[in-house]
Amino acid sequence: MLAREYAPKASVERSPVIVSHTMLMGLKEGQQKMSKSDPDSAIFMEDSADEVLRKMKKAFCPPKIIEDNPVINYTQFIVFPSLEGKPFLI
Amino acid sequence: MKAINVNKIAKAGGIFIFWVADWFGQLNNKMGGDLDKIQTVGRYFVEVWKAAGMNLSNVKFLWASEEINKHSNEYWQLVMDISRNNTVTRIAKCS
Repeated sequence: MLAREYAPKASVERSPVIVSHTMLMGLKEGQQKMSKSDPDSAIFMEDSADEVLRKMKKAFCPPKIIEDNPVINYTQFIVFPSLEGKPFLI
Repeated sequence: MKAINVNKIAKAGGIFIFWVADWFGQLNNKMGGDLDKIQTVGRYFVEVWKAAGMNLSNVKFLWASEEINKHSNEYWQLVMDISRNNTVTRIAKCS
């Protein structure tokens, strides 16, 4: 933000663009974001495949509700883009 | 998601430059202010992005400590100019 404010003063040709992405939800009910201190709120890089499966199975996922649903959230922002057009089979 | 977005930018022909802020980690006393440890963590981050499927062929990693020292004259003059054009209140909002 500061860089974008400063750019005109510095007469730089192009002001930097901010490329940001949404924050993923925490896996438990009511968690708008993940938390380092809560292991079950997120998937950590060091988690084994079993751990990942366990955490996802435990994740808050109310049936037929899309809003504030971390499983839908992860599907939308991680699974679908990673599939790159390949079909998502349930 | 970072890996996904970097791959999208790379696919569109962009070059992604990662600014590894090791010096700033030290400034914030991360890892007890030990620059070596901080740089080890920085290298760990690179491995994490690789593991997350980031395509590194159009990605460059620049280390703050190296770059600032390589271009110290330019860098510090820029810091001075930015400081003179701002207030403490505004700069404090950067944290």
